[in-house]
Amino acid sequence: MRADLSELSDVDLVQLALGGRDAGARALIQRYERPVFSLVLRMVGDHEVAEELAQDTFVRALNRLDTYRTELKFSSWLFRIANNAAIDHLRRRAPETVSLDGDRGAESLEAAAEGAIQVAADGPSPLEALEASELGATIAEAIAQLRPAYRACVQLRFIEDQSYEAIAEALDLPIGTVKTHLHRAKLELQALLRPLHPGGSSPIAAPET
Amino acid sequence: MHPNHPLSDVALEALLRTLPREAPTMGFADRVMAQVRLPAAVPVPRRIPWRTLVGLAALDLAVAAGLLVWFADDLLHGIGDLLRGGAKLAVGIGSIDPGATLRAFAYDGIQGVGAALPGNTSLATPLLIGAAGALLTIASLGRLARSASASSR
Repeated sequence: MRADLSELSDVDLVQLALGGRDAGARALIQRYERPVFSLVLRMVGDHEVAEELAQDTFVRALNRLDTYRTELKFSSWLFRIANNAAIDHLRRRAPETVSLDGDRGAESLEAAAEGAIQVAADGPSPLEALEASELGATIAEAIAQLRPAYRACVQLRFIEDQSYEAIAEALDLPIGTVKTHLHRAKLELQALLRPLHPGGSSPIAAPET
Repeated sequence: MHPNHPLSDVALEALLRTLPREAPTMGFADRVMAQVRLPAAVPVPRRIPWRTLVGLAALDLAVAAGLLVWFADDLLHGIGDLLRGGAKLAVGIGSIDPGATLRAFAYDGIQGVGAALPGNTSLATPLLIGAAGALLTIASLGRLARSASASSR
């Protein structure tokens, strides 16, 4: 039964859930728990909070499934709820914490830079950083330093492999803005990850094409 | 070349795509489902819809009525025989000399009753169809009542 459900489309599963079938709702959760949790985790950076927000996202979505309109991709609708939950959390949390990299909830680069705290460059060297942590963790940390809208775009585009249109739907942004966000996010990430790429000797190299 | 030149777009995107999706802890779906209130399950329509039942009952009653009219003459005769047979039996049973008289009356009576029994298809057919129609009518009225009560909730 479960194997059959995994082959159904999102819309079919929504219909099942709307018909009161738990199995339909469970299949939707199974299909999207990792993407939603990953997005929220990328946004808030805390496993416990991310789990809570991901849970809220699904509860909210499934409890008002009748408001879902099929013109929108189900994944986009769900990502939108998740993104809003994460943004709300960041806004609530904003006054309590100060990031060394500036305000993560800032709406622009300039605003983020204003909130940044300058520290002496006495941290670990790039090599030490590489030795101290896995590459993935370093990249994740770099993403965490982006502003929330950029983080969401990067997560949806490169990890969830969503189209520009789907990201625009999910984040309720024009496609042009999504492209701009991604372009700026990549520039920031290139700057943040530059210490990891000394010359051509770094393990970080463009894949052969 | 600058020793720390930035990553190319392609290299950066390749790196980003290597990031794994994180998974929530075990039992995530159960915790979500515990807080979800899905609409009540819609029952699968396994029984005949009440509209079909009403239609069948109406059709059946119409056929029964038609047959009754068609066989009205036989029916009246059947009823007459039945009454007559019963009367003869009663008279025979009540007579002073129940011997041959009773046997003769009983014979006539049994004949009269037999004419009215299901062996006489002209009478039995509309009666059976009529009975089936009555059952269908009762069933459809019951279904109609349940349906009206469900929709009012």
